[in-house]
Amino acid sequence: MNTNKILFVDDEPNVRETIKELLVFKSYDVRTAANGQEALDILEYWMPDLIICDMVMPVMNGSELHENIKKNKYLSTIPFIFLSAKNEVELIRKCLQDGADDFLTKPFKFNELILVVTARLERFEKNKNAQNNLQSCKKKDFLN
Amino acid sequence: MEKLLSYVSKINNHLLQYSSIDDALNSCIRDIGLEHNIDRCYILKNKNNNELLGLDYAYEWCNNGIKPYINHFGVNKSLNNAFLSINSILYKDKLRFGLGKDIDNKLLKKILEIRTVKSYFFLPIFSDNIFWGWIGLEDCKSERVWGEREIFVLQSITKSLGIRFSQNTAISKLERTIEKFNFFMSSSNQAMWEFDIETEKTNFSLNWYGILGYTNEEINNIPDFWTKIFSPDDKKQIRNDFRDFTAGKLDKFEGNTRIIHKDGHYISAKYSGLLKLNKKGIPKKVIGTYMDISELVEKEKQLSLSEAKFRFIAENTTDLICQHSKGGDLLYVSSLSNDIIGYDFEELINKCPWDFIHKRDLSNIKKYYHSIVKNQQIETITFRFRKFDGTYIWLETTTKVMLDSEKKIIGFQTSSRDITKRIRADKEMKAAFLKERKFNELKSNFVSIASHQFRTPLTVIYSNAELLEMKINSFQRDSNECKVIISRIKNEVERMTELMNNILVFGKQEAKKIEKVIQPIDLNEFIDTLTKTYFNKDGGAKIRVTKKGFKKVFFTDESLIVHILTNVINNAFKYSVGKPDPELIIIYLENNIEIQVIDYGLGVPKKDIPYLFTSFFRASNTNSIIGSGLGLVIVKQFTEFLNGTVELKTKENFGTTIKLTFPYEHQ
Repeated sequence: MNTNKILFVDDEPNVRETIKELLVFKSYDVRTAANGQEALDILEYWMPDLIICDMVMPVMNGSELHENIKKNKYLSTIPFIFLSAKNEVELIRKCLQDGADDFLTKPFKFNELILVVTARLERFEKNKNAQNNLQSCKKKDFLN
Repeated sequence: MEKLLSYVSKINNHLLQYSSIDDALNSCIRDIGLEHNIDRCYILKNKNNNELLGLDYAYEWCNNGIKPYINHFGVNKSLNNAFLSINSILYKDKLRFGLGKDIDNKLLKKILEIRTVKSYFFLPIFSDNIFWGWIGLEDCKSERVWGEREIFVLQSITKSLGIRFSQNTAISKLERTIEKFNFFMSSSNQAMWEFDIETEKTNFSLNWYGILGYTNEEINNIPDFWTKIFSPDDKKQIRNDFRDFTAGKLDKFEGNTRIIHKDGHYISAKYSGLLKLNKKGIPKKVIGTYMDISELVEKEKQLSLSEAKFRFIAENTTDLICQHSKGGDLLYVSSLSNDIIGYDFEELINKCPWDFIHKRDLSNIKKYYHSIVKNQQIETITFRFRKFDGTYIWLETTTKVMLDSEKKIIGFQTSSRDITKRIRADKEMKAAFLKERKFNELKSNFVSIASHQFRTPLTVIYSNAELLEMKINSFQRDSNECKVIISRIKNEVERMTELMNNILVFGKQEAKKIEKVIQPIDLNEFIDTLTKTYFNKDGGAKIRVTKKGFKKVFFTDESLIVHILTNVINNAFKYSVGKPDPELIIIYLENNIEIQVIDYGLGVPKKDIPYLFTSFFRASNTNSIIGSGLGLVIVKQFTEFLNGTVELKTKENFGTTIKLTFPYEHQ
């Protein structure tokens, strides 16, 4: 079975560990980072299928990380979900407008998180497959 | 000879007899022509009366059968021009005569030929030494020789003409002056009288009618008219004064009285008289005037009435009323000045109010003044004014320009009121409003941050509960793993409790609900008990306590000091796990007591230092350590509440020193 890879970014160690364990329990391949900069460092050598990210963090916060990822053509397609204690409607609206795939607020029910994660991953898979098909068609055309 | 005298006297008679100069001259030239048996006699008048001559063929007499030229424009003009060319001789009072054919001036010769002149005689006329014109005599029948006597007579007649002209000028000047005088007299409200001391008769000028309603005849027909027109109150006194004045006992005869109009009503009048003496110094006449000053008196009455009204208002209003000169100096200050600004109103007269104005308001006052002068509209300003005792009050002043009849500024009127209380209340209200707004912002920020702070431990607790549940359901009951999960939950509950406690304390302090209970404490003993009770547990890290200086009694609130010190010491332990033990030094200084808590732990990154005393702020290197972000805020608030100060020195990875300083006595 193809295990989906998730990058989880949060500055609170207890949150980081707990969520990682929960996701691992659901058989995801999880790596964690304590802030945006650490996440970018990991992304240089490890490509996840989905990113879950806190908003308020030292060094580089969630919005800045999201902006960096959207600018990067290799990373921009990775689904990006915010998971933050901030719950101001204006902030949530802005994040979604900027291209985030979802915004969950803390505290959250794990089931909800899993639902969102699964849905995003499925769509991401479909897109990936579609693109692969397109590329193989192009290859075939090229060979023919 | 007799004939000659009669001729000259006839001419003089014409000149005296006729009031019209034209009639006189026409008669004269006719008689001159007949007497000398010539054909034409005429007078050319110099119109310009100055250096530049302008001639006018004004009068002419011609013998029977001789052609007149008075209305012949062309010939006259040529004659004038010809005379102008020879005038240099005539102009200098020299006569000129001779035969027409011998004349050397071509133009004149030609003209005289046209006029068929055989002999001519020209004589200049001077009046008051000014060239008036000349007289010309022409004979068209014979070439005659002008005899000496004839020349002499003509010269003396010409002089008489000159005298008549100057007399004419004088009379017309006098007439004009009289006319002017009468005009002014009739249009003025002043009447004249002349009293002859010898005959005791009085002459009155015509405008008495206008003033008193009597005609000139009525005035002249009423015996002792002038004594009857004064008001009964003044009559006797005026008569006595007049008698004394004419007798030389009084220097002046003048005063104000009321005179009675023909209708019976009174007219306010100003009278005065001048004594005319003869050459020997004996009084002959009194010339005097009466002036109708009813209007003036009425205006004065109105003015004093309105001034009284103004003063009544100015003195009875609660505002300070002032009048200023054009330059701003005070001309009038209402008596309220003492109550409002502490100066007696007399002290301020002729002073410049700008000297009393606060220097910070001066530029505004100057702008205000220029704006009023420019726009001439009522404007209001507030400024500080220095009172007699040197303190300043706020005045609100409204200024109005005072204009004369030509709309020129003659001064300013101001009304000022003390608005110090209002300004103070405004300021207090603004400050209270700002404080309230700040407090509200703080409160809403606080609530938002506090709720955020609670969300993280709640997330950890809930997620760990879920994790635990999943593990139990799936029979993965590894006791070690479960212990980790449970300890996480416990930790977070602890964090929430601390957060909650701090929020409660913080909230109390914010709402100023904390009361100080000041009592003397022995700080040495106090610190020993504190460290034993809360810290320095067996097996854990310990804090080393050092005491310096001579111990003194410290007056403070014990429970607040406990809060402060447990917070600071707790931090020292929390952020220096695995590092050398923290230290506590008590230093008894002369006036203050100093408590230093030193740790050798994480320290604070430089960029975070400015925010350390901000609610909920946590340094960027403390993520793994539980904290509420309120500890130092509370330490600072409580220390300042106890009149102390907090200083913080820190270096990342080297540690932090917190220095608390308090006075011994608490006031």
